[in-house]
Amino acid sequence: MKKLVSLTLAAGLAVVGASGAQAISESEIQQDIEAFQGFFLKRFPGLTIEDFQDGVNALPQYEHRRANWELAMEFPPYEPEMETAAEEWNAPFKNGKSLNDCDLAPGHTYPVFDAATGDLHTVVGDINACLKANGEEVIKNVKRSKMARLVAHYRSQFNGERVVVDFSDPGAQAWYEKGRQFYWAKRGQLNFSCADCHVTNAGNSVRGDVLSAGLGHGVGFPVWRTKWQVAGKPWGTMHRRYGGCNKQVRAHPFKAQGEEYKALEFYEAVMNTGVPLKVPSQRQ
Amino acid sequence: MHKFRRAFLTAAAAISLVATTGVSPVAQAGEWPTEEQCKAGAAKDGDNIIKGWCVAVNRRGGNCLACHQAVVNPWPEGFPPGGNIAPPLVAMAARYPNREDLRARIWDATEKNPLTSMPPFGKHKLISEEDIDLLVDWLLSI
Repeated sequence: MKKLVSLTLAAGLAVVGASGAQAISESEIQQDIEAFQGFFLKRFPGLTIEDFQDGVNALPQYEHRRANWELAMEFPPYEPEMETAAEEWNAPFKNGKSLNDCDLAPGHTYPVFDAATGDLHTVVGDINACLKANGEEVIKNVKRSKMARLVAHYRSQFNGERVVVDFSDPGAQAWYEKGRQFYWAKRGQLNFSCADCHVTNAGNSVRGDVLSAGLGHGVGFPVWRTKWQVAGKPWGTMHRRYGGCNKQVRAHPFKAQGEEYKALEFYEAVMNTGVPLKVPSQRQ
Repeated sequence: MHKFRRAFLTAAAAISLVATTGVSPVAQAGEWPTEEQCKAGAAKDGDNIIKGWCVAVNRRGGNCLACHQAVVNPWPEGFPPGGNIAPPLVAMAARYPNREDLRARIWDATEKNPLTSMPPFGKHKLISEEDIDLLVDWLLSI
């Protein structure tokens, strides 16, 4: 009897679990992309979709600081570090192989939904999985330093390729919906959603800082960030930035490579369909 | 009258600042203190209006200037202007003839507009009830 009750309960929970996030169809996602991108192209009429790859630097509201950024880009601060990144990438494993032998998806197609497991793959996750499969130690810090450099090295090989992620599978659509909810839900003591700043107020100023547009988010990541450099760790992945954003609205950050941020990365990637990669990039 | 009191108290605060720190840039008589000067105690012996201003400019306090520009005269020299996310804080007494309406707006702006970007300062305990009263005093004076 007890067994029956728990089985019924489990079945009930499974149903709730599956219907917890409302289903969204491929065509609805397509409409989301058009609405999202259309909003920014209308808000910033002089910009093309390609321009958004430069993040906040592309916005006319940032023009007074663009010259500084262009000057910095003549000798980008990350350039010597990219040589380190290449060395780290090519370093041989104990079995003689290297990260070059890993089976990764093209850099502009991440995150990738795995129908067999229902999981969402990120470059970070796939690098660690490959290290593990080859008997190497996984990289524990998945937010900065070596991992961020490795991802930057890998993704930079796909620079110019336009973001295109596969959301045809209902499983992928469920991840998308989870990320979409995250993006638009208010959170933290300050009660801000991602969209409050990066859609509604994109291009506006928070005191002296200009808020970046959601269109363009992620295509330059991992980034070399001046703010992070002050503490000696200039490299950061998307999930490092997400954590910082959540802290700024005084919300508890989620775990890097956890479900919440993977879903958010997926949503942002889908919204940036068609924007060409430009990795790495320097941000404030 | 306010102006005179403010001038006097700011001057007094300025003197005590010099006496205690010796280095801080000091607000001159009749001027609004900067965030730094507020932190150094510029409003300690001031009236509610100066205290309210100090709550507004403190980034760990109201941080109102992150999103709003405030129209005060003269603007503290070298003090960064406010943001432009939200409407400028101007003619507040005319816009809010009823003090409680303004207080309620600060306490929880989502009551009137659930999609607002303005944090619910009272509801989420971002600042104290006393600080909200001080903010209202300052806002109704500008």
